[in-house]
Amino acid sequence: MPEFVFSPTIVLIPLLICLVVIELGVSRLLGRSVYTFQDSITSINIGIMSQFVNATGAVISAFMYAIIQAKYGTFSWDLTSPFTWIFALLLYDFMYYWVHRTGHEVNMFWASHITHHSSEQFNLSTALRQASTGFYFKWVFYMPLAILGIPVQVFVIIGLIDLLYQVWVHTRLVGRLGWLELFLVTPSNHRVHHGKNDYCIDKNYGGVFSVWDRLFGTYADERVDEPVRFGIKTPLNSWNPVWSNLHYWVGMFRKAGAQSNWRDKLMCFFGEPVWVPQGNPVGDIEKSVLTSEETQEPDSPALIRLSGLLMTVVSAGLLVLYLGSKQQLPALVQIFIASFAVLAFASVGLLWSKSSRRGAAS
Amino acid sequence: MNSLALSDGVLLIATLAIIMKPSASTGIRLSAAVFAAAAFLGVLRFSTLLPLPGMHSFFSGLGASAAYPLLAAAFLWPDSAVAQSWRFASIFLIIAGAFGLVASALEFNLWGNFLAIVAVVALLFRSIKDKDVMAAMGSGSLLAALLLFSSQFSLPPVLQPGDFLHLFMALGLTLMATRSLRLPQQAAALSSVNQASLE
Repeated sequence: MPEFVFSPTIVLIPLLICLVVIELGVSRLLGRSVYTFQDSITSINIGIMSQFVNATGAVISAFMYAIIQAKYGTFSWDLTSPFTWIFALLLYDFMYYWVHRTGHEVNMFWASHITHHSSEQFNLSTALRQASTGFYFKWVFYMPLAILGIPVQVFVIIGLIDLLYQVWVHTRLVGRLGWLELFLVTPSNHRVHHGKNDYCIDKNYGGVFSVWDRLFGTYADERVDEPVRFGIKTPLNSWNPVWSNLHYWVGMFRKAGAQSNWRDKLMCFFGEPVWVPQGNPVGDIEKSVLTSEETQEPDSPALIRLSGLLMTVVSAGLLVLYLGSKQQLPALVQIFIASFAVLAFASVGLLWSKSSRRGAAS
Repeated sequence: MNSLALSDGVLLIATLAIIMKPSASTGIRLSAAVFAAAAFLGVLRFSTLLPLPGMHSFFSGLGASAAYPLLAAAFLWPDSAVAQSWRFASIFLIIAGAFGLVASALEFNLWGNFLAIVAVVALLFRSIKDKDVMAAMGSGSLLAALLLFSSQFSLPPVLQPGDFLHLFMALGLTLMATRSLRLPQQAAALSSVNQASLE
């Protein structure tokens, strides 16, 4: 039996779920409806599944970082100096801005990041809705830190701080924060980032600091006269965590396959998400982008909702056990467990989606 | 001040001239910028003003695994998005750079050399096919730079292997950039790519 080893992620999982429950309670007390059951459970399930997959992906990123830092790292950094940490945070956040911007403006990277935006609600559970496929490209953007020689432990801790900061900005319960809006990412300006209103598209990419957006012309303030509508232009219309990660990839490959020349095929992957081939019929993705104002389906029957909740509780428990023991498991066993988790989520998600469709039809 | 610092200085001047040349295509200017960064770090390193060997090695590796292929792509397909648009040239550089980093992490050190040679040979074939004397001399010079450096050819005590790499690269890049002016139809292609990006 592998020994259980505590790590920050293990402590964070129950903590983050508790925060979701607290926000739910506060919103009820305030008489505001910011949660829908099925959407929130799906967000948490997507988050749990991404942790199963990214437990390996994150290791790859840290591995690459450590090797490049050891090979090319130029300067030595004093870990006890606040300057090291402040500089690392600023540089990390600057690179995060570009990772995030690329994730929105280059189609094959948007195919991963779209998962995070697929919720039509905006609450703390949305913060947990993270893609399982993003790790393949993000690491390369942080290599400037490695080349400067910033130690891997600083990189990992700063990365965690940057990520955790971004949790609390996913809320509708906090209004504008005065002068803090000038340089920090806040719930107000992050609501704009998650909006599908025209003025919200491709805005506010910052992680901790909004100064990068102001510097590069991608900042937008929340408008009082135009409430933010959350989600993506083409509603996901599925509670399936696996499909939420794959649907855009499928559409992108289909669209590329339909193009007659290599230039257009490549543009399907490297162009902007709204790119449309000249002289060719508009692909499925664009058609929906241009026309859709639909919203997601209503909730499912009680039994199905209960099964989703049960899946969340069981999988969260299994995730904690997995993360605590995975370092002692052979790589193949880790891959098997992650694959099993993905399959389990796919099955339950399929069941949920079918049931939702039946419920909507009736 | 040793010969490597001086020859890297020559390469730096040549690449800066290409970067500042508005008629050179975007892809060529971006690949020149990577070579310029490596050359600048080389000047600092070999003149012992500010030796940053790790950073110099990194940019040299990036030059081999990403800037040479970008240069070749921009030259072989001058009206392509990679040649004409900052956005696509940058994406090309990042992706090719990522592959180079993976190869470097796996200690597959031939990857950068292999890509650089393939890129330069492709440039040479195309130049000969097009009967373009200037481009053929440029790509021939780039090939000579790589081959002389790989064989560690030197003329002691005056020139070290790195000097041949720097000087032949400077000559080759200058000749290539002189050849690859932005033609009117390429400018039109650029505006259509930019228009598509904006829309």
